[in-house]
Amino acid sequence: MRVAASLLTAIACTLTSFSCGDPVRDQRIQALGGETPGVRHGPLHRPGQPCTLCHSESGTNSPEFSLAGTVYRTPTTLEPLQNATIRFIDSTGRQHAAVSNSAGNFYVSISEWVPNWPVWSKVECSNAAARESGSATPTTEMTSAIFRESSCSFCHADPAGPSSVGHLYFADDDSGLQKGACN
Amino acid sequence: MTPDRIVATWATSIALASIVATAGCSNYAGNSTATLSTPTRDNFGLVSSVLEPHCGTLDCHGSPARNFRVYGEKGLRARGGDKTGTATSESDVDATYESIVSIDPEVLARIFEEGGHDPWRWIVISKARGREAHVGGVAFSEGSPGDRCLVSWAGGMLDPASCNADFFGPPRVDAGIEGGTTW
Repeated sequence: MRVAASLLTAIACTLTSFSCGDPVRDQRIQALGGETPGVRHGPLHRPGQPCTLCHSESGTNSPEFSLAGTVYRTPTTLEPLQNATIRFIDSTGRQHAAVSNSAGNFYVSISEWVPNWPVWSKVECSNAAARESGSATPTTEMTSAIFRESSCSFCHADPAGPSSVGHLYFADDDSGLQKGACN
Repeated sequence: MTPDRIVATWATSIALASIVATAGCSNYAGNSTATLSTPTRDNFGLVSSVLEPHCGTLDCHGSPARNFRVYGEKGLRARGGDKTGTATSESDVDATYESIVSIDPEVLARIFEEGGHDPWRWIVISKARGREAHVGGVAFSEGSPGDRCLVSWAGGMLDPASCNADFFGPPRVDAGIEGGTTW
């Protein structure tokens, strides 16, 4: 009798967990495909993908992110911009910053900062040449606000088109950028 | 009840049902279209330029997933060849106009005919002001330049000065405020 009850409970739990899933989200995650061979699950994985499909309250992976994305050097290449500082300011004036890693990925976990939408952002790429010349830190500011979407690549998906702005980039071309990372 | 009486009752019931069914299947003889007064498209470009930064990003009403769509530089484009991020075209303004006048059109027509009286009756304004549930929160507080712009247009007397006075951007943060630097 106890065995039967346990079995029924297990079946009920399994069915419940299936029925509580979000099929749209599940399909979008499935469409992303598997991990790139040779890249471990971690801060460098899946550049350019919508991070918070998984790294969110309703997602499957931790940590949960408030904002996350990938920044590239120019609109025409997928060369990551490393060590860039991505600054955010929310509607109440509170600010936060994240630094991009070698994949161009950056993220803000909810334990660090939860913004009050909308949020404005800008990317700074400090470099030795700018510092030596005493000029201001090269900065690119996002021209619109972020109202609710925590994954940058939700809007910044490739290719650019009538409903996408293309990947997030720092400069129109490489001419003003030092080779390598920001520093 | 005698058999004759039962047959008579059934016959009467069937006859009545047939009459009701026939009436239900008859064609609607009234006008199939109704004409509603709407605010003009002529000066809507100014209103659209206010709506775009407040409402028309890809993660909000600049998305095909919304009933009320705002087309333009910061979001969805009306023409397939245009990319998000390039200048708003007249086609975008046309599409935004068509979208906004189709939201709760009877109420908009009433407000227009009454010269802008009680504009909060229109769902676009009540949501923008945050008077009813709106994921994007308060887009225009009551009496703000953006609110006056939209309300004046809905009432048929556009106030261009209010439209031009609208500003949407990150809050000003002065150096020295806790946790922040000058944005």
